[in-house]
Amino acid sequence: MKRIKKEVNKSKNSLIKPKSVLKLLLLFIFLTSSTSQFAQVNQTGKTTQTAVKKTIKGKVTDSATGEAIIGCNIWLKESSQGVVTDVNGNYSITFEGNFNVLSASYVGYKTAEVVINNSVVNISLVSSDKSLDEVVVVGYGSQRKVSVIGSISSTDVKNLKIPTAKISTALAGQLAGVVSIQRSGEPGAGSDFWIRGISTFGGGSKPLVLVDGIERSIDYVDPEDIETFSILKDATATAVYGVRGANGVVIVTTRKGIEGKPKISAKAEYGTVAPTQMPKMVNSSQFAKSYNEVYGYLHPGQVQYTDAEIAKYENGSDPDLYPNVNWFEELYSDFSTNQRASINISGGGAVARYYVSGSFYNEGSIFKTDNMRKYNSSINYNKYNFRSNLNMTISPTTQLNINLSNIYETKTAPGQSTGDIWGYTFSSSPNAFPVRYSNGYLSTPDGSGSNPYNFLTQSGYRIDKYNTAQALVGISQDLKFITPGLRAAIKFSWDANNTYNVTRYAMPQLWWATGRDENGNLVFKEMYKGSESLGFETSNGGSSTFYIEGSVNYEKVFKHEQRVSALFLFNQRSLNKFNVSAIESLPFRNQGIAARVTYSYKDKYFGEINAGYNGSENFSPGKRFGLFPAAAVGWLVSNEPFFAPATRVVNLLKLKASYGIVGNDQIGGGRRFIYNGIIVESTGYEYGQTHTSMSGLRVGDLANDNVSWEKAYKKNLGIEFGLFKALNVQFDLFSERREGIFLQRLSLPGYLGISSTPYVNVGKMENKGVDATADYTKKFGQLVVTVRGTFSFNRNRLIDQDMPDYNYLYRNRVGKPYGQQYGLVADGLFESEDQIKNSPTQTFGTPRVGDIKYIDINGDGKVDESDEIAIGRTTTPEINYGFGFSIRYKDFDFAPFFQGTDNVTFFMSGGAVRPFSNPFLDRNSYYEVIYNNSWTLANQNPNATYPRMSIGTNNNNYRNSTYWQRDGGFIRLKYMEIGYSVPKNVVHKLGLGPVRIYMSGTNLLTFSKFKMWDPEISGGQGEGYPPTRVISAGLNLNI
Amino acid sequence: MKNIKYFIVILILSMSVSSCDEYLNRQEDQALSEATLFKKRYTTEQYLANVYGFIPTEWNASDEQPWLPASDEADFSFSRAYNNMNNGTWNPANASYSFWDHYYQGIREATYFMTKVETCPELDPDEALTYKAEARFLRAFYYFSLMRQYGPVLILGEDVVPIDGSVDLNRSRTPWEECVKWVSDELDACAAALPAVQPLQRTGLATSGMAKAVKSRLLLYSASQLYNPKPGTTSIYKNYPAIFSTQYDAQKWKAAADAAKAVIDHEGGMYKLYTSEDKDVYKSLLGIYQVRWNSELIFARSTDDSWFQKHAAPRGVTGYGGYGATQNQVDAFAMENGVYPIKGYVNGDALIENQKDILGYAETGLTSYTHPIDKVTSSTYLMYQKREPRFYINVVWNGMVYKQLNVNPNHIVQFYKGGTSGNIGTFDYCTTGYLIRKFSDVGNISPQNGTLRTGATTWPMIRLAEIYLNYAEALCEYDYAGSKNEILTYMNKIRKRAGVPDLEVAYPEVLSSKDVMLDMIRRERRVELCFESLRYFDTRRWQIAEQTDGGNIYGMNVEATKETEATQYWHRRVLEKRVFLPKHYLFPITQSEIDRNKMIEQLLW
Repeated sequence: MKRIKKEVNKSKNSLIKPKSVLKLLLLFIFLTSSTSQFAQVNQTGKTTQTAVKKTIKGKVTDSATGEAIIGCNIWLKESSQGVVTDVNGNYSITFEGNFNVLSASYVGYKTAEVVINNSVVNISLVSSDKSLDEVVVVGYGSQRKVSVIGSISSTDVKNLKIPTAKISTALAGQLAGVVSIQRSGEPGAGSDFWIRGISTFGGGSKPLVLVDGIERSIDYVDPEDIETFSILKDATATAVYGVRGANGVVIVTTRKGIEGKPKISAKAEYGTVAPTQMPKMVNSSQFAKSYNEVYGYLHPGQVQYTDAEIAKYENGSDPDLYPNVNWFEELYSDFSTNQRASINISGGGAVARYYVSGSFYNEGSIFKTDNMRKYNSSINYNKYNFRSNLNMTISPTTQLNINLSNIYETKTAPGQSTGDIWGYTFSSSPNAFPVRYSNGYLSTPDGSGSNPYNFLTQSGYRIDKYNTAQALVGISQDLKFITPGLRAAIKFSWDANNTYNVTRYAMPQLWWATGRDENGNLVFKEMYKGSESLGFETSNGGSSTFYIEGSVNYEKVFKHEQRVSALFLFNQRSLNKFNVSAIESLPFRNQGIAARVTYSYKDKYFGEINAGYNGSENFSPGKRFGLFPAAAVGWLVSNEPFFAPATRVVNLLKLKASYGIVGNDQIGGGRRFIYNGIIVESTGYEYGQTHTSMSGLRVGDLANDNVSWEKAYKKNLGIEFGLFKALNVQFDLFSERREGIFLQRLSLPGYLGISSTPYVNVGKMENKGVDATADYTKKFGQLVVTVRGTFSFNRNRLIDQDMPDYNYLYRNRVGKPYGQQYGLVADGLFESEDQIKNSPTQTFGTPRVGDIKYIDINGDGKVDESDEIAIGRTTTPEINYGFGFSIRYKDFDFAPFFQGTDNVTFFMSGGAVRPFSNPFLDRNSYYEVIYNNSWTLANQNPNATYPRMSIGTNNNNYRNSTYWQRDGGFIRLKYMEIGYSVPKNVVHKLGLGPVRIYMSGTNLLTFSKFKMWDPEISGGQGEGYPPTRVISAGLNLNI
Repeated sequence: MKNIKYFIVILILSMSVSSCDEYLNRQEDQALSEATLFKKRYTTEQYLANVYGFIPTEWNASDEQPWLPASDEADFSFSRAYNNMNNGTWNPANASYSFWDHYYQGIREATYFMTKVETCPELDPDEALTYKAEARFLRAFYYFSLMRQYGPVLILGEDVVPIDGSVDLNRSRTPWEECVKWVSDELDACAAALPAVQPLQRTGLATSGMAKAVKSRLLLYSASQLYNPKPGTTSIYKNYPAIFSTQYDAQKWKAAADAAKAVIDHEGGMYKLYTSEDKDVYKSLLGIYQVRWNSELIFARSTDDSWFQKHAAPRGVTGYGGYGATQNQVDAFAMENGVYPIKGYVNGDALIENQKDILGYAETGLTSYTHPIDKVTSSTYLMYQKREPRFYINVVWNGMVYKQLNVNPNHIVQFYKGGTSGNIGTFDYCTTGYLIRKFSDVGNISPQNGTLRTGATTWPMIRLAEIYLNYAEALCEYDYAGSKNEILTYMNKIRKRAGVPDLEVAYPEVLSSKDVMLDMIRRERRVELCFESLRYFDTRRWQIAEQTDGGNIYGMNVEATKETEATQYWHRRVLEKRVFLPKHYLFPITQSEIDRNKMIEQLLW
C-alpha cells in the first residue's frame, strides 16, 4: 500500500504550491482560524473538467473472518465524496472525475486504500489490533512494534476514559510500572504518580510528561483526544531525554484527522459522585462519658459532665446548650453529580485532514450550602477542552501539522480553605456548639475552635480560573532528493497558562450562648462582630513556554532484510513563570541534542543506540552539558527458522536487554543556579531609642561549581511472548542505581555553624523490581473475551545519604528503602503496676496501666529513641497491580477492572484517633471505633486495639510504633462498565455509525484490612475530601 | 524545491540560534551576592543585624527558651519539651532547646562579618572598627551562652572552619579554664574597642559596658561551686581532669568581684538603679521593665513582641493564662519588714517562720485587702497580704482583680475549676494558682483581636541590680569579713529601691555569719531577678538544683471547684514531683552532634 501512496503523491493534483515559507505560515493561520474556510479550500481544490460519471460497487469484509462490515466508510481518496456500506457490507458509489483510489475505514480496522481498476472493487479490512505494521510511540518518534527493544508500556486509550476530571487518576493499575496514588477526592484533584517507583530521594522523582512531544501537564489532555499513551521505562527508551529522563517519561500523542468523510463521534455521560467512605465519629453522650472516664484517672471521683448533662445530650431536650452534632451529616450531602459531554469530528482529504474536538466536564461537590445565602459556596468544578489538530500535505514531500488546544477550568469553592473546613469538621466535638442556635444565630465556640459550618456556608466564596492555550506547528520535509529515506522536521510550540483567583471572603456575626437567664431564655455573648458584605481579594499567576525542535531522520531497508534508521534532533525550551519569587521568575531553560541509531537483521536481531547530549542551566558554565548513552539488543526468537515448529503454540518470543545512563537535573530545596551563592534574609534585630526593626541578611547556600546532575545507571532484561495467538505477556526485570543525588550534607557537625547546609550530589540509591503485562483475547463464536493484567513491584534502597552512623547501626537509614517507616515495637498494653515495674523503663513519660508497652530492642534496660527500628513498609506502595476482563457477547459488553496496592503502611496520628489530645475540649472529636475499642478502667483489656485515653499529649502512647501502624494495601473495583451497542442494522437505518449506551462505576468496592477510612487518602487520621465513587450512565454516538 | 531550501535554512538557523552554553546562562538579575553584599552600608548593617539576631528571645519563655518553666520559679501549663526536662525523660536524642547549632551559627556569622566589614567603602574606618568590635562582642556572648548551657565547648578562635573536607572535623572540647580565659580576654578587647554609648539610632547595640557585664556573669559563674568546688567537696567533673581543674581557686571569686566592680564603676558609674522621679517604690520597680532604655539597663533588647504578656495574662482578658508562678517562688518573697515567712519545707508542708516576725502571715483565712499597685479592694487570702512590694509586682493570684484598659475593668481572676481563668474544659489552664505579673503593664493592657499589645519595651538581658548581686556574692565568697560593709552597701541599694528595710535591720545575723549573709544574698537574688532567665543557671552553678529542681513543686489546689468548700482551693498542694539527676547540671550534646563529631565528649550524661 505504501507504493500506492507514493503514486498518489506523485500525481499533480496538489493545489498549494507556496512560494515562500512566510506565505505558508500565513496560510496556516488562515486555515486554523476557520474550519469553514478550510472546507472551501477543499472544495475548490476538487474542481475538475471532466464530466464522465463512473459507478463502482463492491463489498467490504473482515480479512480474518470474511464477515461483512456494516457501516464502513468508503470514499474517493482526496475528495469528500463517499458512501457507507449497507447491512450486507455492500456499497455503490457514483462519481465524476479523475479519481483512481478508494479509501475504506472502519473503527477497529486499518484504513485501506485500493486502486480503482475495475467497476467492482471488493475490499477486505485488516483488524488494526493484529496489524503487523503496528507502531509504538518512542522518544522523538515511533517504531514498528516488532522492533521495539526498550521497555515501553502502553495502554489502550479506552482504558483511560474513566469519568474523572483528571486523567492522572485513571492510571492506577493500567500500566505496568506506574505507581499512582490519589490522595484527595476533591473535584478537580489529580493523582501523584511515578514510574517504577521512587528512584531518588533528591529534588525530583516525578517523570517527564510529553504531550505531542512537548512538556505539558498530563491533566490538560482530554482522554477522548488521546491516540496513544505510553510510558518509557528503561535507559534505551529514555536516554534521548538525557538529563531529564531518569525518572521515566510519559508520552501522549493526540489524535489526527483521518482522510475520509467527516466522522462525528459524540459522548455524553451523567453520573453521581459519592464518597467511598465517610468517617463515623462519637456522639455527644459517648464523648462526655469517655471524657469523664479519662478525667477520673487524674482526679479520682470527679467528673466533667454530670449524669444530668449526659441525659440532655441523649434526649436532645436542649440542643442549644447540649447539642449532639454529627458534623459530617450537617456539612456534607451524600452525593453530588458530574457530567461529561464530548464531541469530535475528523475527516479530510488528501491535502488536509482534521481532528476537531470539544468537551465539557462538570463536577459538583458534597459541600452543603446555606440556602439563605445569595451566593453558592459549594465546590463546583468545570472544565472545557477544545482541540484542533490539522495535518496538511502542502507539497508532495512536505507535511505540516498544526495542533491547537485550549483548556479552560473554573472552580468555585467556599471562602475559607477546604483544608480548614475538613480540619474543623474532624476536630469539632459533637457537644461543643450547635450548628446554629435555635433563634438563627450563627454559633462559634468560646475558645480556640471554629464552627466548620460557618466556614463552609458563611465564608463567602472563591473562584479559580485556569486557562491554558497550547499551540504546536510542525513541518516535516522528505529529503529524498538528497538520499531516499531521509526526512527533516521542525517543530515550534508555545504554550501559555494563566490562573486567576478571586476570593470574596466574609464572616458574619457570631455568637456563643453562655447559658440561660431566669426565664429560660438563652444568654448570648457576641464573639465576632462580623460583616455581611463580602470582601475582595484577587491574585493571578501563570507561565509561558516556548519550544523549538529540529530533527533529521533516516530510514532505509536494504535488501528486505536489514533495516537501518537514524535520528538526530536538537531542541530547546524556555519556560517563564510570572507572579512568583524573583528566582523563580528567571526563565527555566533546557537545551539538548538527541541521537538514535537502530538496526535490525531479518526482523530477528535488533540493536539500537540512543544518546542524549543536553545541558542544564543549574550548573556552572562549561559543566552544563552531559552525554547520556544507552544501548539495547533484542532477539526475536520466534522469527528464527528453527523455532517454526513451536510457533503454533508460542507465536511470539522476544528477548531483550538494555543498559544505559540517564540523568536528572532537578535540585532539591527550590534551589536554582547552584553555581551562584545566594544571600538570604535572616532574623534581624531590634534597637534604637525609638524601636527600629532591622531585617538581617546572610550568606545562604554557598556557591558550588562542582555539582552536576544525578546519574541513573539502568539495566533492563525483558521477555515478550505470545501463546496460541491469544495470550501476550511482557515481563521486565530492572535494576537501577542512582548516583550523585542532591542532598544537604548531613554529616557536618553543628559546631561548624553552617546556617545553610550545603547541597552536594553524593547521594546514592538503588531500585530494583519487575513489571509485567499480560493480555488475552479470544473469540468463542459471538463471545469475545479479553483479560488483561499488570503487575509492578519495586524496592528501593538507600546506599548513601551522607549521614553518619546512628548510635546503633540497626537504626541507620542506609540500606533500607526510601520512605521506610520507623518506630517502636509494641508488645500489648501494660496490665498492672507490677508489670510496669518489672519491664524495661519506658522513658517517654510515666507509663500507667493501659498504656502501650514497648520492646527494649537493644536490651539496655530502657525503652527510648534507640529502640526505634524499621517497622512495616514504606509510605509509597511497593506492589501495584491491576487486572480486569471484558466480555462482549453480541451487542452486550461487560468490563470490570480491579486495581490494588500492597507493601505499604502508614501511621495513624492526629486528634481524631487520639481523643482529648487537643488542649481545647471543643476540638476533640474522634472516631467512634476508638470509643468502642479502647482500653478503659471498666474494661481493662490488655489486647484492646487502642490504648488508654489520656488528656493532653501522651508521650508514651502517641509515638510511632507498631501499635499505630496500619497496612495501607487494598484492592478495589476501580472501574466497571456494562454496555449495549445498538445493532448495526438499526443504526445503519438511522444513518448513524456505532451507537452504544453504557453504565459505569468507579471505585465501586474497596477491600482492605484497614476499615476506618479509605486507605488511599493521605494523613494519619483520614482527614480531607475522601476518594469518590462515581456511577455514570452514558451514550456514545457516531455519525 | 525552493521551499525545501528555505526549510533547510530554517532548520540550520534553529539549530544554531545560540551557542549552547550561552543559552543556558542565567538571565541577568543582579542578585545580591557575597561580592556585592559589603559594598553598601545598608546591606552591611543588615548583615550585622543578622549577627545580632542570635541573641536569645527571652520573652518567648515557653517555645524558644526553657529557663523559666524548667526551674523552680515557674510551672507552665503548655505541653512543651520543658516538661521532659522536669520529669527527667530528656536525653541526647530528644533534647529540645539545644542551642548548640544556634550559637555556633552566630559565632560563624560573627567571624565572617569581622573578616568583611572593613571592606565596606561606605563606612568610615572608625565605624567599621566599631561594627567589627560589636560582632566580636556578640561572638564572645554566644560562647558564654553556650558555656552556661554545655560547660566547656569548642573554642574555634578566628577559624572559619572549611567544610570542603580539607580538615578533619572531629574535634574535642576546649578545657573549661581555657574557654573562660579566651572569652574573658575577648570581652576585655571588646570593652576597649566599643563605645560606652551608642548613637541614639543605635541604642541597644553593643557597648563597652555590655562587654564588662557579660564578663562579670562569666567570671561569677566560673567561680561558683559547679566549676570551682569548695575545699571538702567533690567536683562533679572529677572524671574529666583534662577538661576541668578540680582544685578550688579562691582567686576566681576575686576576679568575679573585680569584674562586677568594673561594671559598677564603668564610665564613672554611668549605670544607676532605676527610681522614678517621685521615688515611689512601685513606680520604680515597674519602670525597670516599662521605661525604655532606663538607666539601669546595661544590655537590653527592644521588642514589641507581646508573647510573654499574652501567655502570662489570665484567661478572660484574652490571655492564655499559662505562665504560672510556683508556690515555691511565692514563698520566696519576704514580708513588708524584710523577713522571709517560709524557712523551708518538710514532707510537703511549709516551715513557717516565728509568728511574731512575720506580720500575721497565715495560710488560712481571707480578709478584705487593697492591692498596693492597683488600689482595688477584694477578698484576699492572708498569705498575700503585707508582703514586700516585689511580690505585688511579680504575682497574680486567685481572687485578685485584674485591671485592663477599656474592657471589663474589674475582671476577677479565678483559677479554680470552672473559674474565669481556670479549667473550663481543657487541660490548658494555670496549674499553680499564680500567674507571672512581671513584664506585663497591668491596667494598660488592652485586648485587641485576641492579642495583648503593650507597645515596644526594652527587655532586660543584664541590668545593674544583677551586677550588684554578682558583686555582693563574689565579695562574700572571697572575703566576707573584710567586705561586709561593701556588701551591705550594694544589697541595701537594691532593698531600698524595692521598699524593704536594710538587710542588717531585718537580719542582724548577717553581720556575724557568712552563711547567713550568703543565704540572704541568694534570697535577694531570687526575688529581685525572678523570671529573668537567671534562676535556672543560679541553682545549677550553686549546685543546689537537686533540692530546688529535683523535688516538689507546689501550687494552690486549682482542681477544686467553686461548689466545694472554699478552703479546698486555699490549700498548698504538690502539683509536680520533678526529677533532677547530677547529669542534668549540663545540657547533653545532642546525639546527632555526637554521631557527627566522634571526638566530642558527652559530659555527665
